[in-house]
Amino acid sequence: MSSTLPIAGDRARERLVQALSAVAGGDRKALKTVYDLTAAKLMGVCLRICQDREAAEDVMQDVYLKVWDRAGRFDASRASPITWLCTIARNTAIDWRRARGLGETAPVEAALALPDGRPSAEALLEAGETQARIFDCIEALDEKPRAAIRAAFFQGCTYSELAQVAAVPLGTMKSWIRRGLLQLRGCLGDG
Amino acid sequence: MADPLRPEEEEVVLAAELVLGLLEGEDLAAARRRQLADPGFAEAVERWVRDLAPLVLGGVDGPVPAGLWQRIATRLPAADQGTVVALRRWRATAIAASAAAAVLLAIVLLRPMPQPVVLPPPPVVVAQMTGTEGAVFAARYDADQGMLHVRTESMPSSSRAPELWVIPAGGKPVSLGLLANRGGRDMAVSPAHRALMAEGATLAVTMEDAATAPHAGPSGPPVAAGKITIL
Repeated sequence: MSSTLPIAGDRARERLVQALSAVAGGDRKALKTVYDLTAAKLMGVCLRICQDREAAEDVMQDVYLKVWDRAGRFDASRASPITWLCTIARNTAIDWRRARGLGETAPVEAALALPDGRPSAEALLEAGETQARIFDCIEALDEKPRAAIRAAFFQGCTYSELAQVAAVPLGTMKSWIRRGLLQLRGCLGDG
Repeated sequence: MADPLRPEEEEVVLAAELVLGLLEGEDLAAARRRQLADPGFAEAVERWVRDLAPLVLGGVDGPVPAGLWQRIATRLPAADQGTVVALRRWRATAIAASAAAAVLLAIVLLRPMPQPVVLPPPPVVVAQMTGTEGAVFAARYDADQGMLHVRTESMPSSSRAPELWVIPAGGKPVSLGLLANRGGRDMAVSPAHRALMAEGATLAVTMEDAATAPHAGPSGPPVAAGKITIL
């Protein structure tokens, strides 16, 4: 997995935090810095969800305009900057996908068959997500709940969409996912 | 149907379903209402948001086309330095104030249900959180009537009066008028301002001179701020 940030670990994170803080104060050059440091990573997130190059580029514009508006809300003591930015990208891309409705975008089958995307240890360190137990916990799930939970996270699929794609009754899909979610919470802990 | 869940399991599962976006229709609306009304559930939601967030880091990088930054730069609001910077700082303060939860103003917008409903209309829910500074305002807005009801739960003692502002995402504060020093006040939102009462907008309260209100802009930092949530 290639690393997005050109310098390692804490320094990259610190630089991003400082740039976001400057963006909150209205510094356009700082937004360009944020863009340079994160565009490839966020483009990956948008492409994965939109499954369409042109759409992902449109979504990316909206993402950085949101970053411009919301930078003042970023709190470095509560969130890692790259995770915060990726979450904005994910939510914006999912909104795009939902606005178009299921069926007009890439097949959800693709989502159910998404490759495992475990970031490198280096990428997690950069993100400050050292305790990212979620990857181990997701891997520990049975295949069906794992695929369905990942599809929900990355495609914004609802229960009924997932049931339709997997060609199982709604109750079966709910049962798989709910069991998986309880197992996930048990693995993650209550902390 | 799915297996029945124990109540404590139900809370954990429903919180995850909300975070993952699995819910639709009335189930979704009910979960969002519960998030506002039930602090234990809201905490379960926050925990899932935090725990699941790193998943988004798991993808590969994408190809960034050459002209993309230029397209973003041209869509940024025109640089009108002095006021824009001052305004952004003010807004950042308002937002930080709400994030710190030292003070809070919560608003719930009721949106007409998208489809004819058989169920009775959902109850109006207003979320409140209190903090160390102790300023708390709770707001409820009826979009059909354009009526805003704001309760002043507690407020810093001041010779000035609380003035309410709505701040659209990326926009500047617009005064909605003075609030009551104590108790509730119904305010008619003028048709010109109703479109501002949208999800993503921030409501903020500053202490201002009552005699000259409403003002074109706030004169000091917000004592309370919060985001608008639509149910």
